[in-house]
Amino acid sequence: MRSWLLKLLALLMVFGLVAAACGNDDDDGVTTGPDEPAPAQPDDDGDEPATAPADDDGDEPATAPADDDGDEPAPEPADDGEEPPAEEEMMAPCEATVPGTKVDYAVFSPNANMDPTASSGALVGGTQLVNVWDVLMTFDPATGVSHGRAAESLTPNDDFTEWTLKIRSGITYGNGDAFVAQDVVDSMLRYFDSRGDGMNNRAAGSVAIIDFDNTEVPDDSTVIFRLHRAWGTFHTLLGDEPGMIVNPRIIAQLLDEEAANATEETSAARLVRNRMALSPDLVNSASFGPYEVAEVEPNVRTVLQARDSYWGGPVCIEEIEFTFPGSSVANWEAFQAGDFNAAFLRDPRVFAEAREAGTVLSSEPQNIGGLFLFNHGVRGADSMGADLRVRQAAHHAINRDIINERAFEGKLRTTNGVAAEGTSLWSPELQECADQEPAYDPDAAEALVEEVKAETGWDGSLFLVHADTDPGPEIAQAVEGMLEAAGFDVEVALGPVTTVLIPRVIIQADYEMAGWGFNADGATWVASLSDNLHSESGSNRMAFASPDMDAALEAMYGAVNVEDQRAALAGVQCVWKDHLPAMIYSVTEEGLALADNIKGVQRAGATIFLFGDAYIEN
Amino acid sequence: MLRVVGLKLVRLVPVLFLVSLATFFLIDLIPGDPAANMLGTDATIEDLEAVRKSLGLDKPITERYVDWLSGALSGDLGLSLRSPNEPVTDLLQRSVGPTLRLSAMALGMSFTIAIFLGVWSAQAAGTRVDRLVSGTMFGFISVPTFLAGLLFIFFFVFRESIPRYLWVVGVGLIVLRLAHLAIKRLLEDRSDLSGWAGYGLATLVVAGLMMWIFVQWPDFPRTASHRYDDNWREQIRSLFLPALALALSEIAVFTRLLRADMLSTLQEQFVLSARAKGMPTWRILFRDALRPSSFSLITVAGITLGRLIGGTVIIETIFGLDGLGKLIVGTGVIPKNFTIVQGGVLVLAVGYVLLNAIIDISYQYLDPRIRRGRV
Repeated sequence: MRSWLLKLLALLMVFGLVAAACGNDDDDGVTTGPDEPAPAQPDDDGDEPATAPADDDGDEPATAPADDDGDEPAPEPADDGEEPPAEEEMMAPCEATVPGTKVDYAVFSPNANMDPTASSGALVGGTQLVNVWDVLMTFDPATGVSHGRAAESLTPNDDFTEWTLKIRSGITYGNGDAFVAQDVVDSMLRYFDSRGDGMNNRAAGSVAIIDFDNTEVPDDSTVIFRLHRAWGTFHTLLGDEPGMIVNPRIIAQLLDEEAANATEETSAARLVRNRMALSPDLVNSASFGPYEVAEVEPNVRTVLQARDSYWGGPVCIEEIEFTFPGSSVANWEAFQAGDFNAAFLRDPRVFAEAREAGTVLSSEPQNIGGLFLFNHGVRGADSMGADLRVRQAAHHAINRDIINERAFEGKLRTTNGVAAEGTSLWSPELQECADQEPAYDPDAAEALVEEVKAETGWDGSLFLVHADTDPGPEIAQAVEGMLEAAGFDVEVALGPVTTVLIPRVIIQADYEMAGWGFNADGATWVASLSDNLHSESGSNRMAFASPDMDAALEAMYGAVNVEDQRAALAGVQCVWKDHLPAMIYSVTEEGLALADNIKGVQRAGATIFLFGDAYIEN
Repeated sequence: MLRVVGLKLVRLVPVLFLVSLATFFLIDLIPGDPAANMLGTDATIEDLEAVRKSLGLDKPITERYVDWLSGALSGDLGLSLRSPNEPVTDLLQRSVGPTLRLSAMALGMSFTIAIFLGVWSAQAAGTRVDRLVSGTMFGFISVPTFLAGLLFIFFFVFRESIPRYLWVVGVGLIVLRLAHLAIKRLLEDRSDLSGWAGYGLATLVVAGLMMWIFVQWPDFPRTASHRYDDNWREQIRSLFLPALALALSEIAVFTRLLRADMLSTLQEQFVLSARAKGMPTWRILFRDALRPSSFSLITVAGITLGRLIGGTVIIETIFGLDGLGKLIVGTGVIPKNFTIVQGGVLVLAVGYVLLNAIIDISYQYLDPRIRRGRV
């Protein structure tokens, strides 16, 4: 028996020693995951990777219109000295896709559908989509200028009510169809029509400004957009989902196929969208972007593979995998741990840490990222938010710095303006108006609350609704304390966005104050403010109505150069100070943390990232 | 045998009906709106109403339940209420794999460690080793799973040198102890080759394994959100930390349970008889005493596996793993996506009942008395 034991032990020892001898003999002795992107490969002859050829026609990129006096829009002030990596390299240094190269991209939130009509901007699916569909224009937030991508040029008329789009020739969809100008109109119309059919296509309000009845397609390469009103920054719309063109012939064919399955409750268009969500082949044949969908699990992950036949030349990075670690904090931690080489971040505390760590960040401030809506009487609701004195009292009662300290460890960029200092559209005039809003003054708040109580018989009660996502509870608690100190009797409803915030704010209009965000970045600020504040907007969920504000918002559309835009936004701020439709407390920031060796990433929208020209440096 | 299985399956029917009924009506009580989940914060009230109608949410709850039940009876668990309205069976199929792998790995780790520690602890009952193992197990039990997950992330991902060197120190102590025993035996009786050489070999083996693991120490990922369907090594690497976090408290429970049963078994006559015959201790422990001591362990393990499959939502969330728990709670319960909850609970209930049926049947193989009693 003992000899049997000895044999076993001897065998185990031999196994242990052999295994140890076969171990990884890396310098550090640590294994690396297979996901680590392989370095770019040199050419066959051993040379350094060559640069990609220039465009066939050698055209200059299309630009946004110059303003009347020919000035270029002023560049946005650098943010803490960071250089966005977007424009570093426009030419990919490869002659073909480099095998083994991969971007592991941690998303802010997974997307449900690769159909542009079913996406929700940078936070949900924007980057996945733009890499598959491509886009007509890319927007550079550093300069405020758009560049042509699938579009060759975009030229306005004198009053910016008419824009002539020339599309690039020689582009074909995945199924071999040629990309023609009529496709742009058909695709945009489809985007617009899908609103209200179970879709969350937030840019539909902006598409509605296009007068499709009078929009012309004189030839296969030209679209003349006619707008219902002047719009100086119309080009930004073409870098967003409406600028992602879906082959309308495939959509027409799918609609025919689904017509028999449609019911009163479920339209054929919706069935088509569902098919697009679940079928990579459909998406690939209807698109012409740098990548194709290789695998998709809606709401979980998306894997893209470089498209061999991409019109813009070779795509260097072979694969992009988009997954969702769970939160902005998890994204950052996973990025630090090396699980991901690209991670979308959206939390001031995380951004501060990322900056301290010296991470390459391509980010964009989101003005009006944190604010409290007031219910001005939505659908006749009896809300004290409709009383200007109550809104003034809330402004006096709430100290933005206390929110910052208690909820954001002092890392939040607090502001009281529709554009924060340091962002491209901020101006001293705007700040001057913002500073005329009621400042933190608990005594003044208490006096106003007492005045309203005495006059109306109100008991001071105020219903505050806030999302419970981190750090929502801390924000709500801080605000509750400050309001109570001023004589308000605050009841707080905390919960998930979809089960508490949306039902309370949008469906029931059962709130006086609600934590929200307009998220107006350099590309979307006009649409964002107009959608949320215009009296005729379907997305004005506060029921705020002011002819002065409507006029100020409409003036924004006419602004072309950055000076006009700043003046228009200052106009909005000066109306805001009189009416206090909501209380702004912060500008938030969102963007991408990138590994040092990923170069050439471009922005389509403010924080939508295109990897068509990107490469992984040796 | 078939009769037993048949009876178990028949009992499943009322259980599943009651579970589905209770789940359906309970989920209707929680606040929320699947339409709001589909449309997000840009929704208008008109959009929400249209979507609610298209999803059939405007129908009375009883009608919705009957609709769902009639579909389920014909094998159709319905469509998710979340865009893009995928079949629930597809979602369950996709999610159950990662959760099963995670649960099986956690259970495997728990079993392996608990059997070793439980047997050792019972054999050395009342000694310092026993007290050390028992104290450690109480410590394990008192660490909540979520905390274990966060601690493992901190130490194994961001301070990986600490557990790596702790491993060397911990196993190094065992190596020293084995070496000490080998030298002691050698000095006591040089001619008893199997005595000192056995310990000597064990020392070398354990030391070799210790160094191999130290050298091969992997970079543990912060998240388990990547899929490695074709690479089992990467699967193990990405699931190791979440599985260990889940296993921690199970190791403690299993160890305590096995120790208690082993202590009782070791007092049995057949064990005394085996000892009297001079059988080696390892054989008495692992071949003779372990099997009759494992009834409670197997029963609890079955319940644990069932619980793990449906109850890993916290660990799945912390590690970003898209498993069944996250699907049922995150995609089902929170947005009131009742078709997913119904389908998920149904699958869990079936799994749970079947697992326990398998355990009941396994008793017949573990204990000849039960088998003969039936015959």
